Amino acid sequence: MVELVCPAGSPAMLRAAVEAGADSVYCGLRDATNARNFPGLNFSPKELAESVEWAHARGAKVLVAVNTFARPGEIQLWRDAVDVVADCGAYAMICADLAVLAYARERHPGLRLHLSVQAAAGTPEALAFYAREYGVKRVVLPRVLTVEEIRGLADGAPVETEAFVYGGLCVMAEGRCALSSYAAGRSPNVAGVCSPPEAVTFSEEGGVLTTRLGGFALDRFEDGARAGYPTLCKGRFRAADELAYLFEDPVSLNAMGLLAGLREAGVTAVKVEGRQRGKAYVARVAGAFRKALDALERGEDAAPYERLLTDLAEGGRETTGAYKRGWR
Amino acid sequence: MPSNPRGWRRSGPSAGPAPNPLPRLLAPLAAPAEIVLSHAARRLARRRPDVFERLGEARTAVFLIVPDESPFAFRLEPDGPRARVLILPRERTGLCTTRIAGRLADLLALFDGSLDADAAFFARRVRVEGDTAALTALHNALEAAELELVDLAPLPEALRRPALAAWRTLKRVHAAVRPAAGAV
Amino acid sequence: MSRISLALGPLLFHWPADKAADFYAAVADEAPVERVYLGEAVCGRRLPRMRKTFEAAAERLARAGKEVVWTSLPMPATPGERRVQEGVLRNGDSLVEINDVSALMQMTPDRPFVAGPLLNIYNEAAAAELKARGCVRLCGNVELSLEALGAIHRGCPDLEIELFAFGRLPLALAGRCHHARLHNLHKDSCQFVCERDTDGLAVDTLEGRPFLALNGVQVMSHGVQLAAPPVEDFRKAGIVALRLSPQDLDMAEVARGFRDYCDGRLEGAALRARLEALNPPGEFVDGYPRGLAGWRSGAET
Repeated sequence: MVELVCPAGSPAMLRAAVEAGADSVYCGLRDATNARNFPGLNFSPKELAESVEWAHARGAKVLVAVNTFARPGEIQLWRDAVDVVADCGAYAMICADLAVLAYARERHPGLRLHLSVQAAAGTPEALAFYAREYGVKRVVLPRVLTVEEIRGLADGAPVETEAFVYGGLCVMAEGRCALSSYAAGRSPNVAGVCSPPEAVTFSEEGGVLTTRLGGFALDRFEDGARAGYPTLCKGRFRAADELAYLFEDPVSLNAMGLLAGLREAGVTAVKVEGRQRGKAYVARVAGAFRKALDALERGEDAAPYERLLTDLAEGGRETTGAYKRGWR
Repeated sequence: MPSNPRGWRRSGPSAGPAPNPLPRLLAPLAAPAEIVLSHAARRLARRRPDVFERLGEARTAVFLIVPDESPFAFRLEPDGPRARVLILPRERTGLCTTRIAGRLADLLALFDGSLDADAAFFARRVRVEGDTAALTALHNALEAAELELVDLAPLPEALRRPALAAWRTLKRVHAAVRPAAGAV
Repeated sequence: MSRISLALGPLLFHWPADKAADFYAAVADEAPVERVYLGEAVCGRRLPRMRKTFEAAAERLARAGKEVVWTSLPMPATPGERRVQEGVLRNGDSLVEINDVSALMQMTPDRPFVAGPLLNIYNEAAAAELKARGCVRLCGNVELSLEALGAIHRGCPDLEIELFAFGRLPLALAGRCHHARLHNLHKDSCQFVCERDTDGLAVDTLEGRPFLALNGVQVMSHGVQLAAPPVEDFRKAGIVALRLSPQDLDMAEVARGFRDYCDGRLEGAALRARLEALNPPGEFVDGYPRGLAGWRSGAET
């Protein structure tokens, strides 16, 4: 039975996810130790402990992300976060930094460790390294792998695997992208935000909306055209005399149609992105994937549930991302 | 004016502090609505400190909510026990951190979560200018709070009638001032 | 006061074999660099084409007294690439540079290695983890400021620190090749179009402002890093070497300029002017070393 892992940006969202059928939920603390460090999002230690109790009473697991890379000279903030996670009784901690892994292994050897997608572990050697050196039990796979590559990794891997199936798509290798800090001074790696809101500006002139990050124009929308948040890699740029979405169209990942394939490839869990998307979002997505996974368990097709989610996609369009090779 | 220790960027068509420059005729009608809304905001701060904790630095921000159909704008200063709401003519709103504009029905639906904020923004039904981080904080705080409109006006019975009367009067004045504005 | 050494970073762009061969001959003969990183650090598809050229260059450089360090891939994708990677890293004769965590499985404490700038090493504790496994030098991730490098140095004092001081900044890597995609080609049948852009392909914003550069699967800055703070700041940060990343211009002259600068014969502004005269492909930037957004430049008024 494939585990359904859903995002929780707040205690209310956590409850919505579990009630909609998530097997596990993942969340973070309200500071730079996790990769969704948006203002007003995430949990206080007290909210975390209460949510863990609530979820466990309903048979759902809570995974806590401490998945950014600690700042030099300020590692204590990350160590404190590890201590909070170990104390609150969460099922596992999701991390990427060798410093965090080393501290957890030393101070909390009983704490189950999952490797974040930010660690960019996409080869058998990388998986083996983290398993052998830090006792990592599960690895969240980079979104740039195909289903065949995932099958190759999951087969005989010393760890469980988890694959993203829905939500915002990261085009570049996660945890190794400095585009955001080049333009705006902060990136997901250390600050936990990509295209940070404080560097975003929207300016409207004559019905045309221009979105900018750190002063760099990222896209332009004519009167009434559906806009998008100025995430760097989703922008439109000029290269070789062409103006185009150079890196990726502003679309979202929806791999529901590939659930059967991922299941066969041996992944332990499927993950929904979107801690910042809210309760209504997670309730719908968790509900749809719950139905799809249950259908697969019964030997049925998951296809009928695909169209349940199309209108939630950014830019109104979806993709299966890298999972099918043609994307390269 | 609440203090501004974090130096939130303020922008707007007019510089200087935000006075109450409603035309003398309308001022007595707006005042009760302001009192009611400010009182409600402070009550919320007392009952739900977690919501205000989530706001973080955005507590000292100034949000300007400008319904399309209305000659008025709502200036929200969420600063906890000093929270207040001012009602101002849209041309004279003073500096603000973030400006949110849209049809009133959409703005109200945003508040109680029946309209998805990302969807509304991307579909350009709601337009945002200014400090996005402050707005993100407000949005996330409200999202996590599971509030409803009734939370904003959980008034004792004694105040409910005058509040409703003030609101109805405001709407009538608005209709008189802008007869072609359409339903509020 | 110990001398700051100069290292030529691996050639990040895909140059035609003869151009690369000429380049390394000039480096061997003229560039005052102590170390040269050789090999492919961007895309595994380029490897088979360049192997012979790099091997010949290695011999030439060694004869000229330069230390050769073999670099490796940042995202080995196919079984073929992983095998080649393993071969590179098995090289017992010289130091190797690793750019991907998968390489750590092969490293043992008696096998010294350099941690390249594409690894996620951002603090002293992570650096210590690598040091315990044989790392002798860390080329800091480009996002790290001088101050951050100093903190890493203080927390891990026996680890040499190298700073990416010159060249377009490597910012991101992708699974698909956007460079090929721009030419309507697929990564697997890319025809090596990246070879046409010897400094990377400029990417501007829709308002025409220079922003980034495409280099195969890698996205780089349009701006050319030029880190030239007071030399004392290098020492305070524990930096023992400066990495000069090759661009399509007179890199021997770049090295001479930095040599004069580090030895106190040249001021920062003069170094800037000297390098500006070489016609760099983009504006000089130094935001990262100063703890700011990467595109910022100290020369701004």
